[in-house]
Amino acid sequence: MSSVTVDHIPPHAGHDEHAHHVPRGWRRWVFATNHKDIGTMYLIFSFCMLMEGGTLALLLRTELFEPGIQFFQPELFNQFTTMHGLIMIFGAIMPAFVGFANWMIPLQIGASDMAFARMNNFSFWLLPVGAILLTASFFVPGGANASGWTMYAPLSLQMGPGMDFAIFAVHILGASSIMGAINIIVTILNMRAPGMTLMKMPLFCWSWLVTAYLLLAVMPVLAAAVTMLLTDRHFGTHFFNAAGGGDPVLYQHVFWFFGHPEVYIMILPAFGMVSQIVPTFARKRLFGYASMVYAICAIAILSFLVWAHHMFTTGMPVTAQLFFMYGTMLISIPTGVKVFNWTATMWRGSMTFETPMLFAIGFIFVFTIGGFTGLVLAVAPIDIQVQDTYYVVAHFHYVLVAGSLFALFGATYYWLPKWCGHMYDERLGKWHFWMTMISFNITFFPMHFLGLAGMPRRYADYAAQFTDFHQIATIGAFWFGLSQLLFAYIVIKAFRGHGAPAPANPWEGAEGLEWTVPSPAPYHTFVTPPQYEASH
Amino acid sequence: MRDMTPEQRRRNRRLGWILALCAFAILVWTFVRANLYGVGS
Repeated sequence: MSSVTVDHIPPHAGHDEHAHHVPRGWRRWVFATNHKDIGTMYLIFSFCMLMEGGTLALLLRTELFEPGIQFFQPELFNQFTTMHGLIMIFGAIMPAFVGFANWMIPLQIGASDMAFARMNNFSFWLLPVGAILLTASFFVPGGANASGWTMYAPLSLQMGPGMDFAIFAVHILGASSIMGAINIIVTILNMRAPGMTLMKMPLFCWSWLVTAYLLLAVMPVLAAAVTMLLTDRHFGTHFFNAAGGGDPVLYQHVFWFFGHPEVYIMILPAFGMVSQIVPTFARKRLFGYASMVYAICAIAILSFLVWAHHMFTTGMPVTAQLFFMYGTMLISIPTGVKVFNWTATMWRGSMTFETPMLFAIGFIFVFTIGGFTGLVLAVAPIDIQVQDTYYVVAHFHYVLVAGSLFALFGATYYWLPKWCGHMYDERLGKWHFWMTMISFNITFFPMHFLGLAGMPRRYADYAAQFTDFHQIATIGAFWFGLSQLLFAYIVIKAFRGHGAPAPANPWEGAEGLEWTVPSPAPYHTFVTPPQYEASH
Repeated sequence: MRDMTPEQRRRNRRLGWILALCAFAILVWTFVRANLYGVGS
């Protein structure tokens, strides 16, 4: 967040004579072009997908409660595993961040809306189509895609029509992401309020600008990879078919050239959110704003250079292993800069611990654990030992759940008063945080031990020695899942008006243009661009 | 959006098309590079 004060904002900058025009009924949503409406739809959609992906996760944990096959045959178990990953990544986490981008970027930069409002509508409405395709694939002959979310060849070349559904869904969701990325880049570069230079922009906008470039660069690579899978399956090509002169390992290279930046697509906006929340509740300017921006850019650039650390076991020259190993370790430097800056922002601040701040601190603490296990995995000889074990599962859930999801929860509580005009129930919010934090660690921390002991991922059955840790993880998972119903209750309660009316700026230490408009934010904001003047 | 000037719309469209072309170029480039190793060999 830029450490700025805002003045010279016209007193009615938040709304004008256009503000009374609000479409009614179903047309408001189907033909929505208002960034706030589209943002709301993104967020509702992503929460629904979180519930669907979460249900699949609980089915997995149910089966894994005891060794042996209890409820689901391994084929169905693998379908659940695959769809859990695809739905959570493409249906829940990514759309949730785009929802926040839609809601907050125009408000933060003083724009009246996104640059391409109709394309914004199209980007959103592609999502349910992709989600229906993914979900419907369970009901086709052979069931859903069971090759893992990575869809590695040659397994993915041998599956039934469920694989084609998944490929088409990825195409559609990828097209949606590319259009969303174009919209965000153009909005940020062309539509900032007068006086808001790039280096005065809130860090959430910066993180999304860089993320949008990442999306634009790698989603076409994924689209190409899955299209080649499709042509290999149905049109006689042999990109990944060794029998025809192709190479299955090529798929892994192409996929992870997308896949590793994708990891940062799912975490950079979370960094931006935490960078907004921490200064607010520490009541201090963000420590090292410029270094935060440069760290985001450095992480993005490095993310293109480390993809093969996912592939150490495929075999590669030692020099290549060293390159990818050290490249991966290098990412910890800009990431460390960010963790240091958040900590330094809190240092000697007048801190209070409202729910957004709890989630932000929880994020810093637990995400850092995930970062450290990432460093362990970066070491090629260790990675070869724990490849495809629960250690990897633990690592990426520490990064994606405690990272992305915690930041999303924190940001929801942070901006909820601006969205609905009412404060959430702080007591219940704190309950939600602590239940989430404790149950998350109960679920995923034992997985480190499982992985180090040799428990492979994507297995429906296991040796009896793993039973205890699996049972702990399953109990934690159900607790975690049920805790999210509390989150839904808190949000719905606030939207129904059960809570104190929120002032324009409900947080003592919050700065930025979004807090200059009334709460809830009027339907049309900044129709006349505000003059943004920063004190620093 | 009602408040954008024609010049603003032009600028937005121009940048939007440039970015879309970049995405398309990356898509094509991936096929070309993969073809060198895969289907053509």
